[in-house]
Amino acid sequence: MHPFDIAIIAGYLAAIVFMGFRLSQRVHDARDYFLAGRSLTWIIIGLSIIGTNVSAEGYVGASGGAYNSGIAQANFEWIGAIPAMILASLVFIPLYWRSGVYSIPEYLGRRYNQPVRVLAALIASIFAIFAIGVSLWAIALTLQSYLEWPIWVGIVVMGTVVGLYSISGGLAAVAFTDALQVVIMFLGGVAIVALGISDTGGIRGFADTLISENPTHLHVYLPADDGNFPWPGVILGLAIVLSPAYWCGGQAILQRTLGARSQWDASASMMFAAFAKTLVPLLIVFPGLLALVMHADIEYPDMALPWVVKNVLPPGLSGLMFVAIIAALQSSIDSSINSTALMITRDVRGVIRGRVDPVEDLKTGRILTLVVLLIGMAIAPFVGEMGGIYVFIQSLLSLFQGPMLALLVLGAFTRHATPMAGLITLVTGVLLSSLLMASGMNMLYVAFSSFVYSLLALWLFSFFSQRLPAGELAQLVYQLQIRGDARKEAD
Amino acid sequence: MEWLQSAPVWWANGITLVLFVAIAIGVFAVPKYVFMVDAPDQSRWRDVRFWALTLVAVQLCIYAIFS
Repeated sequence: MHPFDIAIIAGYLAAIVFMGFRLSQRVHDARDYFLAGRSLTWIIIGLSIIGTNVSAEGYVGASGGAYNSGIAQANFEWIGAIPAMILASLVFIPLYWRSGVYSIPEYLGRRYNQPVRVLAALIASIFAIFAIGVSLWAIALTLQSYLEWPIWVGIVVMGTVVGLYSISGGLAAVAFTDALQVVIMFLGGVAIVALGISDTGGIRGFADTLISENPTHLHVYLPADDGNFPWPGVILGLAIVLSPAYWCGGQAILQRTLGARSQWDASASMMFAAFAKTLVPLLIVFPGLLALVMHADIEYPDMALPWVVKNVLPPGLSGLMFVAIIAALQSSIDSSINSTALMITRDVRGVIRGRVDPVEDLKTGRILTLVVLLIGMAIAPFVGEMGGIYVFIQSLLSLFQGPMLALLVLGAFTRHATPMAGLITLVTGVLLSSLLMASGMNMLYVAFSSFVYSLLALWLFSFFSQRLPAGELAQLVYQLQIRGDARKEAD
Repeated sequence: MEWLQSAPVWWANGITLVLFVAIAIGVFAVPKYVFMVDAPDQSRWRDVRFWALTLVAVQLCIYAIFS
């Protein structure tokens, strides 16, 4: 690696640790630590949302997916994100904000009951810890390939860097470093696009070569019998279930919006993130297509991005792109450890103890952030080596998305859904998903089927149990909140 | 779900068009005060419903180009 590249990497790592320590001076209690003292602006939150969203699988895997299937991979960034982000911005973020909650499990706990809250928090936390392990493994692999560091050294060094700024500065440090990381990611991505297009004879030359050799690679929808991205699965499973469940109910994503300085900033941040999301395929899909056009000599599709970085970018810029990959991984890890610590502190420990204390929770939150990070570091070599297990765990996560989204949708939009029906639906919905998955059904169709079942079950079971009192529902159901606001406006 | 295996791709383009047009109309069902209640000022550019409209227009262009 060129000395200039090494200087860029060292400068980046020093800058984010410095930023974390500066922001730690603002942290005095749990609200400062977990919600940044409700001080974040829409631009910072929007960039941080994208940083959290673009993960290890996103950066490396999406390039590999595009190499295989073409621009259909970008559906995850377009129809598989934008409609749900608009819904989150205009409906769910105002709903959560006005409810005054710290987390999505807390909202579910208030709308249904405490067992639903604890169950949702535990499920999300367990999967987050595995995701942290995989991201650390991916960083260590990247460091090994570029700097020839042993795997364990990469895990320890990156774990320490992320831990230093996340534990000291909390959500504010996470959000500001994420924002810096996303700017670096876009700079690296733009450099690849500009140089790649130039090397392949301009936009026309690039597109002509791609289409002549891979006729379907510029078609965003693939046939319904396609093995990877069948269009009905993309629309029904991804756009209607998995994406809204992620953007309207994902704690790591929404936590920073709850840390906004105003409700307007919270809503605007998600819209701003949606604009940035529209451009994300340039960063993560284009390199896969470029490797194809340039006839990259690679063994696996996932090697498309490293090949492009090595063969297209000059010294200095390749260091920047290396930093961009590291930044993408770090921003996913820091968000996961912060949101997991929050859920365990308040939604599990707080419920079991029956009380929360802002000062005590700050101490607990910091300790739990460290514990979650250490567990992630400890399991990283194992989950990384057994990649198939992680894919299996990700499939298991999709078992919960349909029922969880049904609880959120009927809970947010109707008074009819009852606490007991919520718990029964969550448990039976997950059981049904497991059976469908075991029968060999495509993951996207499992998500859609379990969502439809859960909507019907929650509606029907709610006829046989007690609703929440009207006074409590007024703060938790969207239409009732709006009606209350309209009355205030009229007064 | 097997009957879906033979569904033509143009259905996907049609559904996408309907979905985004529905979103463009639906955003105006959300009252302005829901998100403008504590905005620093009431300038028109802060109305995030228009941000959503722009996003929808961009998406429709993207899906038209790559259909």
